[in-house]
Amino acid sequence: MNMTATPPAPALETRKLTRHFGRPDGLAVKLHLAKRQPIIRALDGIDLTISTGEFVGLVGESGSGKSTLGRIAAGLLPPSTGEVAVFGRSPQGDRSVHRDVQLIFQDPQASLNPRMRVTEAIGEAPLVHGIASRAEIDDYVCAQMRRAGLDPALRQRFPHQFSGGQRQRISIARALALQPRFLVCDESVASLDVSIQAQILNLFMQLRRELDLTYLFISHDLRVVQHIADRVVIMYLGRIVEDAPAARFFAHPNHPYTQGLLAEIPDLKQRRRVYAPVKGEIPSPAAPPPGCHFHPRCPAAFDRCRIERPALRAIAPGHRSACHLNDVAAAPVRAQTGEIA
Amino acid sequence: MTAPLLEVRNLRTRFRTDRGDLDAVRDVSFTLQAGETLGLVGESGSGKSVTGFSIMGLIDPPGRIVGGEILFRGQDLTKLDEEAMRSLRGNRIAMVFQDPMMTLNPVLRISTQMIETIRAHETIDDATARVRARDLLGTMGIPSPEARLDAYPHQLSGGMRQRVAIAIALINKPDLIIADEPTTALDVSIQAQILAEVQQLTRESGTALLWITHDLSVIAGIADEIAVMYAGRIVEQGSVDAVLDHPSHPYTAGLIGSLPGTSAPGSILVQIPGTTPDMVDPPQGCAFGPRCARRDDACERQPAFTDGAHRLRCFHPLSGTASTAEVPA
Repeated sequence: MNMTATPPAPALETRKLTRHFGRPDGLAVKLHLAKRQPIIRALDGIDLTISTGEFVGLVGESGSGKSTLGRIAAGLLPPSTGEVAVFGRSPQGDRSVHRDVQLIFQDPQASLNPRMRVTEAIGEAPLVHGIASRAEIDDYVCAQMRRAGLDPALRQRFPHQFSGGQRQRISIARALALQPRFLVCDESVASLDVSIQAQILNLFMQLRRELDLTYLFISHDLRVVQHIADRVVIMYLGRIVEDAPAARFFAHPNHPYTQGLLAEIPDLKQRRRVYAPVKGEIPSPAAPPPGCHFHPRCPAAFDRCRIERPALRAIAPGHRSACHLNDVAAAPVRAQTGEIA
Repeated sequence: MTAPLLEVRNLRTRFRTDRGDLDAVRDVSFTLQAGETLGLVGESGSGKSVTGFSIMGLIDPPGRIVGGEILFRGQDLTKLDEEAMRSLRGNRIAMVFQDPMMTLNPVLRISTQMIETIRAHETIDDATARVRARDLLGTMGIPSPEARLDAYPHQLSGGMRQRVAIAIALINKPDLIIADEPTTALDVSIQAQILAEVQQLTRESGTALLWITHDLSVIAGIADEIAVMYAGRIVEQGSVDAVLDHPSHPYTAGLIGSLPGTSAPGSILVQIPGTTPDMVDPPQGCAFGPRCARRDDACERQPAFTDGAHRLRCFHPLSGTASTAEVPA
């Protein structure tokens, strides 16, 4: 594949990316001795390019595939079909990519080895990759801890001796120790108390300025994304439904799903409000509805939505949306808000 | 004004730990009128959930209520024996947990669990109870409720399970529901659906709601009154508008400032320095002192809770009347 034509290569580029979970029918299934296992289409044709230096907020509900996309970007999972390139290189073919991308998980408790002292947790990978020698490693670890807002005097402690917010800082220091250019944060602030969440968000913003990092920031919380991201990508059942610069996204949401989501964000300023939520459940990714995945819950769905998958198309510079309503000729009614540019 | 439905007075709940006694709830007092919604807000370890569990009589040894009263329609729940408490629980007072599987038994059908809840408190035949259960599932926005009655909890999605758990809490038309972060684990669109349904049901039935959460934005949408807890004490309490528009305790102001969405995108969020105190060995005087920019020598003593509509526990509030020093008991 040739994705390196225009320098510099984007931090992430995917083409028709899919990822399925579950096995094809085995012998037992063919002999009717076992039930067929459903195939989960976690990612269903993702085209996404993230330029270096961008801070992209990836938002979706359960089963949207946002974490799967993050894992593929970080090289932890291979795609089923389609192409992925990270800084122009395939994470499967070129292992040097792995140093450039680091993942920060939701639960630092689960992602830190409870029997490893902090100094080992942070220092192990730089030693393996030859970033620091044995003689330098102690100073190197201290520098990483300081950068993540931790007191280096605590480096001989174990993870359980830290609070939740401090543990997340350890995960961040560990990720930074490999001098990555691209951070994938998977719900990295979701389990933290609000005041601690603010500390970690501030740290992410500060690191971005200091280290010139690219971020894929996965979250279910649009308020957090609004604060921190400069571009928002919305996923629903394995597909991107909308992608826009943050300011434009929050001012002119296009897709009916996105409009519904934005209307439902609990807001400090709205008192004794009446909620008018999106109806229905999120369908299972094992049996997604045909056509547009959102059509069973969409107030504006029409015949075409039940049959044909809407393409993710540009509706304004930098703003893509996958909705048949944008197709003026075919749509019986325009989107209710009339905010289509 | 009629006597309040619930009046909590100087509640203190203690847990015994290896390192010594831990008072998770130190001195909590509030009242709740019928039909009213009180949002009890706090971060991890503030004592908000323990307050809810104390009212429900669900504090198990080594924890126990060591002081104060919980008056429910004038009756002190802390003095009731287990049998009397059981007749109230699930009947007049019900609880909804963050994890619906705290309520649901994984090996029983939904119908069994709902009918059991009705028949535990009322003499009624199975068929009538089943109809009531089905109707309530329908009201909670569960599609094809008749079929869902025969399902097991694992056959339902997380949002559906939480609806069933809420339906079980509502089924005997309780006077009070204690909801402990019931929407925190749910997706945004499902959270909004459940908030809408709970709102409507409590409005129709006049049920009072004690909504425990860490999320001020959720509270803003549903509560009449807010109480903010820190280190086992209520530090600020008042109407939703008073507390959110004019936060007076430095902790409340810090909490609101640290919410993304309250300041310009990309700006540095207000962060409260430090972490919550060790509750086995809390700081002398105001527990928030070590993290507070307004602290001085006065804060070495415990501030008393002020009176009035907008109450505070602070010597140096951002607005309103300051506390006087609490007289040691």
